[in-house]
Amino acid sequence: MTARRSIDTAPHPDLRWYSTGNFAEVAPARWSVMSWSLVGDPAERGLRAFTARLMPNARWATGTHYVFVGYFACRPYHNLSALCQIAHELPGPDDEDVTRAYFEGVPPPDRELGRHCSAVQRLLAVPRMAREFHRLRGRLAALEADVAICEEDFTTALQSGWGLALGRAAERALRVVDEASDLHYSTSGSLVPAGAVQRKVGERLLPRWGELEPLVNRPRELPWSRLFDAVGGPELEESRFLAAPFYEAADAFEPWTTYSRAFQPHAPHELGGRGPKQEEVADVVWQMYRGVRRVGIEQLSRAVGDTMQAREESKALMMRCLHLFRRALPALAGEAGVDGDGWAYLRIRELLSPVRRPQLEQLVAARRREVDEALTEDMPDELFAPRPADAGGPPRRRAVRQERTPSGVSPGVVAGMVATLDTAPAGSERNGDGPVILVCESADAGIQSLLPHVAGLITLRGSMLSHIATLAREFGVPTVVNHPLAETLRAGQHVVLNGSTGEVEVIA
Amino acid sequence: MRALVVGGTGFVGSAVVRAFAERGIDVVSLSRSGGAFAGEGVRADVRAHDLGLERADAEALSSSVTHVVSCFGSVDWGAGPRLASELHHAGTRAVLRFAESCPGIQRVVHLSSVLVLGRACGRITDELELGQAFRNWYEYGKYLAEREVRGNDRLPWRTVRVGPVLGPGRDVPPTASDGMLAVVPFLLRGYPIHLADHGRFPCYPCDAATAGEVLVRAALEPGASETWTWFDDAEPTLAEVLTGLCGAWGVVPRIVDLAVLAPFGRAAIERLGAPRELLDYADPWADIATQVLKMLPGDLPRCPPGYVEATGEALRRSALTRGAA
Repeated sequence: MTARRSIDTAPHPDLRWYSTGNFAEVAPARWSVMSWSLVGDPAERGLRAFTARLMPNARWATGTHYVFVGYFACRPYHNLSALCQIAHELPGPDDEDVTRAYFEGVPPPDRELGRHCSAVQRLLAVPRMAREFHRLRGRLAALEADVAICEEDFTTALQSGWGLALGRAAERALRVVDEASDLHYSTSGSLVPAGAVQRKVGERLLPRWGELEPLVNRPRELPWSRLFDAVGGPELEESRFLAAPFYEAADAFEPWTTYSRAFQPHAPHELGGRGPKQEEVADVVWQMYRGVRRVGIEQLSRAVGDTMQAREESKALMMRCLHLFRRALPALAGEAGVDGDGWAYLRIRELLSPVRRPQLEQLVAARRREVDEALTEDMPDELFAPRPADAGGPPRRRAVRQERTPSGVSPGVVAGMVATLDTAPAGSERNGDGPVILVCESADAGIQSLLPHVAGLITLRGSMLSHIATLAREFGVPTVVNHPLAETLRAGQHVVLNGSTGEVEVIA
Repeated sequence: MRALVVGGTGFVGSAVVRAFAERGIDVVSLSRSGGAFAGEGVRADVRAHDLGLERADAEALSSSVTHVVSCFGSVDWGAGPRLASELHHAGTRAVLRFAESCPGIQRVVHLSSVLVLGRACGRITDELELGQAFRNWYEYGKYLAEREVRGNDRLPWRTVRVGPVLGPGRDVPPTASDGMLAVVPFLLRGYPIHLADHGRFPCYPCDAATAGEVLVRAALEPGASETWTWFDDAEPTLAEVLTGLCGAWGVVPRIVDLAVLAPFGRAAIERLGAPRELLDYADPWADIATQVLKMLPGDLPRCPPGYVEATGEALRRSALTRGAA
């Protein structure tokens, strides 16, 4: 292990467990420096803001170190210790709720801060959380308007070719990215305690709550299904973020192309609610119960469903913002005198700051060397960073192996023939082949157009609140995530999957 | 002609198998046990790929079967959503898929239930999608299954809706473990049960052996894409059925109408041990127009007199309710 590179973030001295979590499920394995500054930094600021609003006394969530995210050898990580610490200081959730929701059920780390949090302190967070829920829709509406204005600004600036206008549009967009990130991580953070409370109430009020939970926790609207409508149609440049890889702005350049090679759908986009006709199962559930049972759990579930929807919408807005930069960064780099793909090795602030411009070329050259070296390093999904003093040198990291625990995230049982992304299905009932079950490592928005055509889905990565899990529930496709068989299944094999229990059986 | 009865060792399925066999029709009974009361028995599972059949067995079966009668499933009114999705819905889909693989298929008959109507309002003949609410996952599962069948345009299907299936059973005796009969042990203990209007509303029961005959007729009659609704044309009320069932013990069920106090009474009765899911049937069931029976072939058999009482007798002989009495 060499000395810390300038592109790496410093590991937190106290909160030392890192995990890729959701980043590994939907984002490229390695990010360019620019993409990290456009996504990772706002994520840190968003999580800090969320924590400060809910727990004003949590001084551990401040300081000069990155607390909630990390970027090591071009790989993005969440700080699992810090996120579990949030759960510890909120009423309802425990560490397992965090790892089950976002970290593929890995064992939670030991508590490292030793910070005691009384029951009263936890309860004080309840009204603050209620305020978060209350403000959600208003913030989302304002953010949608801001993103639309930013798109207009960028389009105008790019057409005019006026560098100053482009810089101002970028500055404005950065503030919008911060707000989108804040909203996304607020909704993600709120879902864990809300889900924990819902589960406790559900188990008390309704028999077989475990079977009901995935049925009732579906967003009432399908945000990913109507995005083209919301943005303005697939022919518009603004809509093309849906076909672009998530989280990587420099996907047109190597080596980032290799890491972010998004799945290009074979089937034409058929969005806008053309999925299979689904019964509104949640309504069936509510009508089945009466009185306190119904009112209590219905209201909770609607809150959780709305928050899930807001989370997906804010994620989409983040990606729309990222796509703005994807379009504008070559022009911004040209203004700064940086040629070719050099901007991918800079942070956005370095590119926009006029002070650094004379040194940018040297900086790009030095970063290229660092990135080349970093990309040769094998980065595991989980990292543990010992204290620098204990290690007697630069921070060292070690991999923690884990066995995958399959999880059913979208209920239903289906038997069918395996298809992979290379053998894209043309329909869930191809002639003579029967239902198609799509098997893949993970998925981003590109997989969405296939979901109406598949009968089931098995992924190697994923958790209950993964992007693919949310999409699968939207489309009513029985889905199992985090299943080791997804690595070995081959097109043409026959399997039976159970989206409730997470079981997958290979028939032939 | 070769008939396949899915769920052929069940309460209704066994009657269907007998009815086919008595007509001299070659019949195959599919069940998890692999048994058969007549004809050939094959071990299968509707929740498994290709019904859990070996490829060679599946191909041999599909090449010879001309009629499929699907009467598998649980009538557990207290089961959860997995019953609806995994057994009734996915199972029916698997049966239809198998039927589609049979080149000589002439008819697929699906055994449905009047309970697919859930809490639907108004007079009903053969409608299905009425925006109705459901009392439990059994109703919703049967609804999904019937919708799956009616949505199939590749098969000559016919669905037959029946009410609670009673009768002494020739090969398979009735049990008080699920369905309407689960309330019998509670009534035998002498506890009161609340029924709106003292249970003077129809519950559309029928006799299992006769239902088997009707299902076979549904398989053999010409015509397709029809929904038959069949029940005892005497239209006994729920109170009459419960009284008949308990008559075997010389017990008169204590049926009360608590009117506005019903919610409190329901809670109290639930505390006494009444199955919660049965209490959902205390209000009048869906209003099925009597003329649905006139839409069926005129020579269909009628339920024999005394089948309700005979059900009680059969239950009394079973170990399950003997202790309760």
